[in-house]
Formats: sequence, C-alpha cells, structure tokens
Amino acid sequence: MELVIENLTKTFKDTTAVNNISCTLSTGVYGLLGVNGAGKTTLMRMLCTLLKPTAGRITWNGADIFTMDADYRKLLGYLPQDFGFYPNFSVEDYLMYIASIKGLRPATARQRVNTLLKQVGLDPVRSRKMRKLSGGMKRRAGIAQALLNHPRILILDEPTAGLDPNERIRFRNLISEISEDRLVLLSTHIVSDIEYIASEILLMKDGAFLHTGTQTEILADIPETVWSCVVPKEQAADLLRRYKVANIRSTPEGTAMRILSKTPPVMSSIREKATLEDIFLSYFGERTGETNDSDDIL
Amino acid sequence: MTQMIYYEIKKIFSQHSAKLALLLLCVTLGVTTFLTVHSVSWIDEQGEKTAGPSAAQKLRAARKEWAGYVDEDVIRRVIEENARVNATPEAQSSNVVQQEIAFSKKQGFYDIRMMIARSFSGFRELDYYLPDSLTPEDASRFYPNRMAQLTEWLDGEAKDTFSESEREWIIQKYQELPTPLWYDYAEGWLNLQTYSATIIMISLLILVFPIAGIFSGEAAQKADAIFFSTYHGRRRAVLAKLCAGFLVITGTYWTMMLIYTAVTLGLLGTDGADCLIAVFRWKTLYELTNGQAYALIVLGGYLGCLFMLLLAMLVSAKTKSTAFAVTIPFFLMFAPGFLSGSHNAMLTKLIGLLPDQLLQMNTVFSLFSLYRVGTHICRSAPLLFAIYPAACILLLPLIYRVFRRTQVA
Repeated sequence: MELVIENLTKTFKDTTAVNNISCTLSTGVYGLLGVNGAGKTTLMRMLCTLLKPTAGRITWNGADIFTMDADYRKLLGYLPQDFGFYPNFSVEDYLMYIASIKGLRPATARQRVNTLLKQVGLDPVRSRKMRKLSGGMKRRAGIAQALLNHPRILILDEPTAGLDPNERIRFRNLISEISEDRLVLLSTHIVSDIEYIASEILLMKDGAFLHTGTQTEILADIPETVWSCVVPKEQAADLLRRYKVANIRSTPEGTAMRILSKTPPVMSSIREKATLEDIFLSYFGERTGETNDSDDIL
Repeated sequence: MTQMIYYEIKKIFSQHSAKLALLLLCVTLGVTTFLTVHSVSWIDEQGEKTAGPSAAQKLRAARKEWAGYVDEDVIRRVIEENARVNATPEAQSSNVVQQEIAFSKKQGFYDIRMMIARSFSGFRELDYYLPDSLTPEDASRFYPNRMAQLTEWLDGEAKDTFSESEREWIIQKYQELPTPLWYDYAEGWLNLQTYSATIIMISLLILVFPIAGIFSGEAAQKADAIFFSTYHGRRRAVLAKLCAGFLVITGTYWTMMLIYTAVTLGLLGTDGADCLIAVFRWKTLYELTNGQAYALIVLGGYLGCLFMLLLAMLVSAKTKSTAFAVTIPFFLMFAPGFLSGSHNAMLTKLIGLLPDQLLQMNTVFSLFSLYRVGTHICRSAPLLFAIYPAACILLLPLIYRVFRRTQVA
C-alpha cells in the first residue's frame, strides 16, 4: 500500500502552486503542515484526481491514479477545506446521496450511514436540513461522508477549521480510531492537531516540501534554538523586531518571551525544548493558526 | 443508478427556485387552459355572447349541421344562406346587438364561409366581407381558385423566390390535395393548435431555471470537490444528472401537455380530428389532419424544449454558471425575431430551421419555406424533425464528456 508522488508540479497561469515535489506515503497519519497558500490544497486536489498535474505523476501501488480513475477513487475519502453541501437535503439524505455516488448498495449505505451518524454524533439531527446545522455539525457531516466507503486513503483538508476545542478533541480521537490500516493525509495550519495524531509530518512552503519526517526527526533538525527569557517591557518590543517570537506573556516580573535564535537573545536566556509550534515559526516565519494568550500583550 | 437519479431529482426540486417554477407552471397551465377553453364563443338569438364549454356545445351542434364534404353544392348553399342572413333586418341594422343577432345565424357555417373568403381573396390576402358579394354561380370556382391563385402568385410576387423545380413541386403538392375537403366542427383541435405555442414557450422559459443548475449547482454549492472525488463522480453520477435532467424535462413537459390537451378536448370536444388542416389553412403545403398537426405541434414543442434545455445544461456544465445557462433559451427564442425582417434568402431559410420554429409548429404549417437536400426538395417541418432529434442525441454524450472532465481548482 503505497502512494508515490513523483516530481509533481502544478502551475496555474503564472503561479506555480506545487513545485516538483516527491514523496512516498504508506499506512499511517501524515500531517501536511504549512501556511495558507503553501500549496497544500492543490496537492490534495491532485491526490483526489480533481486536478491534473502539469508535470510529474502520482501512483498507487505502482499504477497511475489518473489511469486507475474510478478504481482509485473507490479507495478514496476526501473532506475538502471549503466543504460544500446541498442545503435543502437532510443530513441523512446527504449521506445517502454521497453513499450512492460512492458506489455503495442501498442496504449497505443505510447501515453505514446509521453507524457513522452515531459515530460523529449527528444521529439526533439526522432529519435536520444541512443548511440548519452549526459549523461544527457540518464539519462532522463532512467527515462522515469521507468515511462512508471505508476509504484506504483518507484525505482531510483543514478538517478542524472552525471547530471548537471540544469538537477538535473529538475529531482527533476519531481520526486516531480510524487510522489503522489506512493512509490518512491531514492538512492543517493548526499545529496541535498534527502534534497529537500524525506519525509523519510534511512541512510545505511555496509549493515545495521543506522537511519531511517523524515529529522527533523534525524537532531534532530545527535550524534554530528555542530560548525563554523574562525581560522588561521596553526591551520586549526590541526583541520582537529582531527575533522570531513564539510566545509572549506579561508577568509581574516583566515580559516572558519564547524566542527562536541561534544565539541567546539576552544573557538570562534559558534553553528550551523545541515544540512543533516552534518548528512552524522557524520554517514559516509566523505563528500557527491557533490563538494563544500572547496575541494582545503588546 | 436509480438511487442516484432519485437524489438528483430531489436536489432539483429541493431548491426554492424549482418549487417556484412548479407553481408557475401550474398557474401557466391553469391560465392557458382557461383562455383556450374560453376562446370559443357563442352568440344566441338575442345577440348575447357566451364563452367556454357551454358555448362550445351550442357551437358544436350548429356546426355539426354543416359537417361533411365541402363540395360545390355546400359552397352554393353557404353563399345563399349567407346572402339570406345579410338580407334580414338585423343584418341591415346599424345597431350592434342587431348585427350580433344576424351573426348568430351564420355561426353554423362560419368556418365554410371563411374557407370561401380565403378561396376568393388574393393569395396573400383575406377579405372577410368578400363572401357577401358572391353569387351561387361562383361556387364552381371554389376549388379551382386555390390553384389559380397559387400560379398567379408564383408567376408574380414569388417569381424570384423559387426555382423552376421548386415551383413545380409546390404545384404538385397543391394538386395532390384530395378534394372535396371534409369538414367537421373542430374548435377543440383548432384552439389547441393556436394556444399550445404559448404554453410550450412559457413552460420552456420556466423549466430552464431548475434545469440550468443541475451541473453548475455542484460548483456553486462548492459540492464539486466531493462529487468528483467519488467512485461514480466522473461516470455514473454524471449520467444520473443527465437522466434526471431528461426525466424532469420530459415528465414536466408531457404532464403539462397531456393535462392541457385532455382538459381542452374534454371541454371543447374531440370532433374534427380527421379534418385536413387545409380546411382552416387554405394555402398550406402540408396534407395533415388536425389530429396529426396537433401531435406534431406537441412533439415539435417537446423537441424544441429538449434541445434548448440540453443546450442550457451543456453551457451550465462548461461554464459552471447557472445565470449564463438560463439565458440560452431566451436567446434562442427571441434572437431570431430580430433577424426575421431580413431580405437575405439564405438567412431567411436559416431562420426557418432554428430551434424556435419547433416551439411554434403551428406557424410552420403555414410557411412556404423549401429546402433542397441533395436532389430532394422538402419543407421545413420534416427537416426540423430530422435535425433536432439528432442534435439532442449528440448533445447528451457531449454534456457527459464536458462535465466528467471538469477540474476542481
């Protein structure tokens, strides 16, 4: 079970969204991490046969996925980032329809829909119109449709976007539950999602992979050191300009800062263990999509 | 497949625009049927006018007295009866009610009187009062007039319009018309023929709203990414959309037309189905009965609607724009109107073969548009019925191919 990406490129007019990338994916949860515009969605759409590559190829167990056509899509479950639905369908109708176009027989589909509705917690609202669902409920319906056909390859594009913390935890648990014997590719700019469930991480920037590997490998290869320090408020502004600051917090002693730098930013700096948050900042030069207590400190 | 089609149809009718379209179609059906049935009127001996089914019953009884072959003797009797009514004090009166009373006595032979008016007027004229000036001796000229006026027109006004072979072909068609013609009360069929174009055109313009979104709706609702990533997404699911579109068009159209036809004929009568349309369209080149003509009008309407709506579906699949797709039938219906004033012979012939003609086959039966296919000369109706089924059959795989290749960026 191997999904191989070979020299894959996708160009839109003057823009190269995906630039000559290669990698091999097998069973496990892969976290595709990158800022908005990194090319994650374009890559995923090519993996779902929604877009044809400008160059390169994608193979599944040695066969070109575009040649495999429906046989490949039979293995696929996909939750797009900007998830669309049929607003006047009930949740149940929506899932039954998707089951029909996924090739499930009506009796099997009925059974599978019932199971998934319970699994994602939508059973009580199965008759509710899709347009009347909350953002989190719609997302859960989206996850349910992706799982209808027991996909061998599950591609989830920003699946936790718009979910509240409880729903995000629930979602992570669900992915962990179903990831056995599957290839799950999960794109996000929310580091904690990947931190908890991804076995491998693909860091993507400007259409190319910056780094790939396990969390430990990636953390070991961080090009900068992580430092923590407490500085007077007036010095904090200067440090913010000069360094990549992962976190900043006001304390009675001054401003507590978490800084990425090859050398200690101040004399009193203490070396810290790097996290994926720091990796994100180090490679992408900006903090992740998660909000934290440092946002309005200065 | 059945389930996919079921959900596609459900998708169409779950939209508010489709529900509104259905409501409008019902209103159109009701209003058009009412207008069709109430276009039949009867004037009683007191000069009072009534309309609708009861008027149709009285008219039917009066006209049944004149049913039969319209031979020289019948023409003579109509001229005499017409003259007799004209000589009554009511007809001579300038009082409108009195004139209506006089007209009430002509209602039974009104259709034959109109045949006489058409026969004795010029080829492209109609003098309603001309029968009033005829004498019973003129009856013998009734049928010969048809050919005489045709040859006069072909040698004069239409001299440069037709080639020699076309001219001979037209004359031959006129000669082939079996005379004397059979006449019967046919208000049901005649009114269906007249008003069916209205219901066909309005149905088309309403139906395009739910149909145009079948393909573009996936992109508009951002559901295309999931749709195309599924097992049947680029195969049977596309076919299901096509089938749903076809079924909605076919089901809606034929339901509308069957109800319209059944109610109208039920209220106005089915008599006159076997009468040739030449009885009421004196100069037609088509040797069709009223029943056959109406069947072709309805079938033509279906083909026209199907073609234009499939074209709208193609545009919807290609451009992902419902708004653009909706404009297609409007354009195809109204654009030829702007070109119809042209004196260019080629353009005129082309206009005669545009799909809007299928929506108004009733007028096509009155046209003298001839086309040459190889060595054969033919009228526009057979060509329309050859071109558009073929075009529809070609459009189906084209829509399928275009949509299944959609890229979702």
